[in-house]
Amino acid sequence: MNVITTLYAFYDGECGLCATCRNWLSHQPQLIPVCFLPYQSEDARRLCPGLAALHPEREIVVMSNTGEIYQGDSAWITLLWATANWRTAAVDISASAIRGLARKVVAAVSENRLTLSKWLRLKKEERCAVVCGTVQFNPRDLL
Amino acid sequence: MNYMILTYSLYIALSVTLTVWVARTLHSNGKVFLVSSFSGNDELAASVNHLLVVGFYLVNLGFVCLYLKLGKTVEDGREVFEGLAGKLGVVLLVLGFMHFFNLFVFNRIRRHAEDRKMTRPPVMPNAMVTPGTWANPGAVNTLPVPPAAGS
Repeated sequence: MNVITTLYAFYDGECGLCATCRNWLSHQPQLIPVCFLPYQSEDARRLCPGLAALHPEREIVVMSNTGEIYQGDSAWITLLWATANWRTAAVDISASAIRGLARKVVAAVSENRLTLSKWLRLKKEERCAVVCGTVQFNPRDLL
Repeated sequence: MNYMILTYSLYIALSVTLTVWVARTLHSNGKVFLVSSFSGNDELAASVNHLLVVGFYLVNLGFVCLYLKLGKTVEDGREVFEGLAGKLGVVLLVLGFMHFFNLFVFNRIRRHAEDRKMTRPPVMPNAMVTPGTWANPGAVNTLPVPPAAGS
């Protein structure tokens, strides 16, 4: 199988909560670079043919450069796995009983993301730009 | 008074011996763990190992010192044993807790290093597609192309 070198996260550009999550994730030191694209963008449609059929408006879609699609809780685990500091946590979640809970939480938050954004007063971004994370040096990499 | 001095002397001697024994066990057995976590970087492993052991000594000896004072006067041989057993019991429990905490730290470091070697996410993909290209081919070079991992 091909090696995963980049991940593309197709999030909802219309939602404040998603923008906040994207900001947080893109500032985490990454082991595998992640590009964040609003699923509504032309770039997203071109990069991932058949994106609409996956219903990215329901749950976040993550695609690897090798064409693997992860959605919902799998997408979140994959995104955490791509970061340096949360990889071990992602592995733990994926292998344990918390996985079922994670699935439910992700589904619930995803469904109510617009309401949540309104409650928390999180604003969506003015201009949906493509944000690509970079691999940063982190002293913890030594451990 | 003599019994008091005897209790305290025995307490210090036994606690310090136990601390040294546990610390040496940690030091010699932790080495293997750390060398594998640091993928053969022996120098770094030895350094981290030493630092952990120094912390272990400081916390334990500090606790042993603070916990020295007996609340009552020891008047006969029976009370020497009773006083000593109570004190040493708690010292042993603290040592045990610290020991397991150190194991937890060692294991955390090892896990962290192991997970770094993963090449795929820990979950199965939901679907497969053939990735396309950027929407505006002319802009591909100007788009922030992420550098390869490790560069």
